[in-house]
Amino acid sequence: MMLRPLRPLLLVAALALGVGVDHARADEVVGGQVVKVDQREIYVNLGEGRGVVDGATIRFKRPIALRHPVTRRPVNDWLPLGAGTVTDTGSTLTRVALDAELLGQVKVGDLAEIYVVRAEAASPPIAPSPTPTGPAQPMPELDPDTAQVLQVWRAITGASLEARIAAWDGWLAAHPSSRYAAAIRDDLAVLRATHEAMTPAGKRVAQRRLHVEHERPRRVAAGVPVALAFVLVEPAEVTAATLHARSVGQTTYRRVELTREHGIYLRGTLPAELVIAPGVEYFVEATRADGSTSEAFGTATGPVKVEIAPPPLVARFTLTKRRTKLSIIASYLDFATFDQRTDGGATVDRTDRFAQTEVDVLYRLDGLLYGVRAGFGAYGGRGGFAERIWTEDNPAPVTGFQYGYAEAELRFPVEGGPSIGFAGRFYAGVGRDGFGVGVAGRARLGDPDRTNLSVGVSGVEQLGFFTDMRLETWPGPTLPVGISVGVTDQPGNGDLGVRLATELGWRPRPWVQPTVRVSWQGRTATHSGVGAGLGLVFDW
Amino acid sequence: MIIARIIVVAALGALPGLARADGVRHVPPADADLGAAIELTAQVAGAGARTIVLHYRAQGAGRWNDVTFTQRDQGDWVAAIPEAAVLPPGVEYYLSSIASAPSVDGVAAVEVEEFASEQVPHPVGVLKSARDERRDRDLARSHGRRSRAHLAAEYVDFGQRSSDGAVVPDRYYRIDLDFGYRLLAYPLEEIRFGYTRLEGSVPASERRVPDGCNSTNQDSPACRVEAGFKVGGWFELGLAIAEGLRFDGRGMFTANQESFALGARGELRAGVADGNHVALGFEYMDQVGTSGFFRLGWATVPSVPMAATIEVTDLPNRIRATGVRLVYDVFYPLPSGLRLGARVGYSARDQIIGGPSAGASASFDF
Repeated sequence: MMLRPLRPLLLVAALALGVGVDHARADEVVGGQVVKVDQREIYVNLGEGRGVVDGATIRFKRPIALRHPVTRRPVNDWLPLGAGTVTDTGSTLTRVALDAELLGQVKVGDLAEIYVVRAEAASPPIAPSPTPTGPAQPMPELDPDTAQVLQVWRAITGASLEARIAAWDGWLAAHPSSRYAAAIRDDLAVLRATHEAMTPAGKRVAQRRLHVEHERPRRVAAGVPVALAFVLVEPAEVTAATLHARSVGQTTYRRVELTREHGIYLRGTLPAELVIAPGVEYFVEATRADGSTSEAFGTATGPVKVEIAPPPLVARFTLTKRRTKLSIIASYLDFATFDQRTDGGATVDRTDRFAQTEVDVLYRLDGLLYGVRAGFGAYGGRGGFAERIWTEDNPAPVTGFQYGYAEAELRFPVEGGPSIGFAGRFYAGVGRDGFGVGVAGRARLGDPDRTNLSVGVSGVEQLGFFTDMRLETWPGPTLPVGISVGVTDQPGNGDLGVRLATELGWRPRPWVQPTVRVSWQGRTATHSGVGAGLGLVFDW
Repeated sequence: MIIARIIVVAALGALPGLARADGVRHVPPADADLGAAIELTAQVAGAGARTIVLHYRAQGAGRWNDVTFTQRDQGDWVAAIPEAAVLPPGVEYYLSSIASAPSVDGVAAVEVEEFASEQVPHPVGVLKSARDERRDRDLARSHGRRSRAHLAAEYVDFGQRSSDGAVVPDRYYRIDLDFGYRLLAYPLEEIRFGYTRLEGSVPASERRVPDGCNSTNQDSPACRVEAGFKVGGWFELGLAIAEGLRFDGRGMFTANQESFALGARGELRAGVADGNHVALGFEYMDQVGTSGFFRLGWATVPSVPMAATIEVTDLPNRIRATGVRLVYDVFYPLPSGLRLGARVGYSARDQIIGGPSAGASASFDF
């Protein structure tokens, strides 16, 4: 496999260098490897024993692994690096002087070849093995597409990286819809990466810039591919051209091969996914026949920019799935379940409880405003104090509130971390004393629909305040779990109490999630109780 | 370098795209304005020996139209796509040439494509002004219908108050009938004219039945107040500050129980009025009362848009205490433009007594 690709190059090289190959003599190409690279010279594991002499020209090559464009099987090939002169020949090692540029490229392990001319007569030719007789097998016919790919493949075997890149670029420009195009694009990416890695920055010599004529779009619609056409100013110098495009704000470009038509035209399309607000940027890079490239319209650092108007506000209210969440929550908290204190041995009434039901709808928006919520609620409570005893003459105070609320949540993305959100809620409702209002706020770290940690505080006239810290996590893909610790003086601005609650949900379908909540709450060690709640969330 | 060039040229020798590097040189336009002819220019090598033809059609259309290039002032060759054909979303074209004289062997001249091709023509997007594009989107949302006739009726009950045998209701009904026309002359998006009737009965006090009222005098003006107005006309402007953000401002003229009175209503809305939206607004009617509301509308349930409204109000009479209304709306739009709606709610001025609300609406777009 290694020798087969050598033949065309040797022939080409021999023609180019004016060296005739005399097959009557036992000339030989001997091969070795670079074993050491010094600051001024290199060493190759070839010596006098292999016929190497001082002053001989030695060529260096870099092995490269490729894939066959048709069969996609791995193929070992090599890239020519350059040539040097043998300055000192030992028995097993040879010292070679290289110019500074080549010295910077050659590495230990690179292949070395010397064309050795031997004086002895050639061995008698080996008699050809007899050709088996019988009917000749018809050669399979190749379709034109495959034949042309193989033609390019054969032509570039052993050629430089630049030549390979130019050849495949040119082929792609003319055959963008070939069934081999995708594979060739992959191979080109490998070749370009290799070329980039092998080319020292200082070697990139500025060449005269190539040009294309082009009328840029004034305005384009977001999400729609944009057809572009370019006219080559120097068509004879260009083998292919590439459109490099990106959305404004992106740091890297995407390559789009331009199709060459009628000799001077290049056509291609800006992919729809790049055509988004605030704009799309592009430039054109043309490839010369020697493989060198030139920016031909715009530059990588100064691309052509086409502005795209941001979608109107109404687009954020466009109907899409998974935008709406309906939540129904009911909870009951008793602060006196375990309060067994008596008064002179008699059971006393220390009622202290409240119940709450809320129904709300969340509409999710894109961007900074994560969502808007509107909901209705009803609240009823009795008691609120740890040390008071209720009698017929001194009944437990009753608290009630029927209300609606509106909420907006802002969400700030954090690069490399969970997002931060702030929600504000406004309550308006009526209690036993008439109209009342309230406010609530919640700061949240993390995705509201996934694992998140939040801290909230609320205060409502006639009810009191409630503040809590809550962690919601998903130990399983369908199992949300919430744990919260809260402090409140509800119902009715009573004594402070603490509430510890756990929620367990289950999401059997993406659109429904029932939830169960249990809690313990108390205002003192003796005045405490349990609570429970149910929730149902529909997400569509 | 020479070797590389030899290899590349050898490899590319059979590539058809590189075979010709002369002929017709034409820089294609990237886009065009709606209703303006597209003038195409070209430099033609050997122009005397051949005719250059422009083939164009609306994007995706079947039939090609042909225009022959003509030379302008001994310079460039030009051909134009007429303005009548320059329509959104765009036009597509290709150029070809054909020998002017028949070949010596009598064979008919073959048409040669010079830029793009019949199979892969070059598209040119036709741009509308931003205003026109916005108008198109707005009309698409209303299915091309600019007018709407709307009727809504609602019954609101805050609960019946009683004291010392006196039973006095706290309720009203409201009927709105209006006509709207989408002008789409931004920022003025819509104008509406309407009629409102709002009548009710309330206790003659802030919240409870006044002291001294009983079953015999419960209907007297000292105990029960007839509230609202029979006739109210209004005119509303819908100002679209941006696409999807609109303020509706209304001026009202009413003849209430006592005199002629003025009123006003404002609603700031983000989103689509008949679909997903958020709205915040107020309504003031002299001597009748004031309301403030927040509404969230969602159209994520297929074919059944809904809305939830929280309203704070002292309607139907400003002597009444501020109460709260929690309202749920559901609509059913039909392809004909008819849109039916139903409303249920709960209204209360305190937590002790409240009452239901119910309503229905119908609108027809044409």
